[in-house]
Amino acid sequence: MEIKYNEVYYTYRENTKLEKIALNDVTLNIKQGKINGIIGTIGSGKTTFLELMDALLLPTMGTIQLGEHKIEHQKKLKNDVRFEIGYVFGNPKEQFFLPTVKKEIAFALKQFSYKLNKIDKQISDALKMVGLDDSYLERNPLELSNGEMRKVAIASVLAFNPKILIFDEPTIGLDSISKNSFLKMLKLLKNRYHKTIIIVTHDINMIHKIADYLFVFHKGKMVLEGNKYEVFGNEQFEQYQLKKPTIMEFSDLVLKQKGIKLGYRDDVNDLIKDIYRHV
Amino acid sequence: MCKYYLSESKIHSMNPLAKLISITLLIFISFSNTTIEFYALLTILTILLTLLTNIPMKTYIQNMKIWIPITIFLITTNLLFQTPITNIVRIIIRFTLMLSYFIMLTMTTKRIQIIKALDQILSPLKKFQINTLQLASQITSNIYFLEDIKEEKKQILKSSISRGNNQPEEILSLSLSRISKKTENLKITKPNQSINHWNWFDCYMVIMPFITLLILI
Repeated sequence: MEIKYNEVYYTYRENTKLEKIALNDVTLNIKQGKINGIIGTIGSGKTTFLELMDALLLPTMGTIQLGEHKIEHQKKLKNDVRFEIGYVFGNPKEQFFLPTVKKEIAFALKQFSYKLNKIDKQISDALKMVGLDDSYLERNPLELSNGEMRKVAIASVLAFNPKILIFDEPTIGLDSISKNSFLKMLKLLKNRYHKTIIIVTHDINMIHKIADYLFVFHKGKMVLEGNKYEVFGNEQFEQYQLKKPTIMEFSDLVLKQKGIKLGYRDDVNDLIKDIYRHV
Repeated sequence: MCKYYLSESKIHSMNPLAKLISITLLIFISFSNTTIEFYALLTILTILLTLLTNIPMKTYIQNMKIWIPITIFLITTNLLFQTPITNIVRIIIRFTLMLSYFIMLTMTTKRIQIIKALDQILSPLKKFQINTLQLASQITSNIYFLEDIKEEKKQILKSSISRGNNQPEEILSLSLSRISKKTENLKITKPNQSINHWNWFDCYMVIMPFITLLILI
């Protein structure tokens, strides 16, 4: 399913004193079957961009093509627009509203008319995928710890098996072990199930590890795009108040101080091998 | 009742205690059984006050939506008991005045300010070892009840729409349960925000209802 943004504008509180332009002329194509990362400073319109994709907001101008569906200003949409899209909210407390974890995960399954005898298996599969067991099923999602909440939020979306997965700040509140298992899960989803994944994050090191394609947002505009070497290696990159990943910063530093040129590496172990070779 | 409207005006910068007192006095006066001329005077006064707040009339009217079902209810019940029409008109005018005062209060004062003002009013109860701050915050949460429910409803709708349901059935009870959950976990701390001092305008606003009463007599 292709996602195309065509000259999209979005303004909050239109025609009032507190008017704010969140998105300003955004045109882009999301790469299918890949991990798309979106980075930018606070208030650069990233979350608005995601909410437009899930048709929670409608654009004030421009169109968004979602497969066969077209999202436009003041257009009534059918329910099956969101059938293929799973949106994990930035704050899991906003996402939960049902009394138990089981009901929370089953909610979407019931909407998309899964068979009742399959639901139980689907729920425990989804929980297993994020690394939780069945003992959580009867607990209240709002009484869990922050990290567990985030895992349940991801599970409730994975359960109905959408083709496109949207994550808004997925790694806040996760420890390093669950962060790594989350990254593994993303790779599995991409490679085995061929899902399109879109991640908004401030964690540059994380996005550098996994993203295939990057978009940089600045003040409501999409200013840079390309694969990670193109984006992080771009001369304009630092003027958008963003930091490079530490691996790249390190090799830049080595080039500056010692005059030795190290190649850009994704993994720390590869970098250490490079250094060893030079010494 | 409604959201705080960010703006700068004489009424926004009033001392919240003075505002609470003057508005309760105005409500009491509007309920004293009086002539049509007095109501005309009161409506002119409220319109003047609303103009003072620097909030456009349009937003006021948007927030008056509750007025329609309640007036219909009032009219039908009164017709059932066969009260004379002049009395019904009087009741409706009183109700609209009261509603507009409440809307004015909630649109021009922040929640913390109202809590602090109520705490000041209730402070004599401290002698009986009653936590007045908690009481004040409970009363204010009742004042803002409708607004809280609206906000919760919005969030729940957003979440359920993203998972494929446009109209969840039990949305009202769900949002109520979420509000109760939030208030359980709420830790009440003493509001540190500074409050505007009394000045001549506050004194005038407190005395003003009495002046209108005097004009009547």
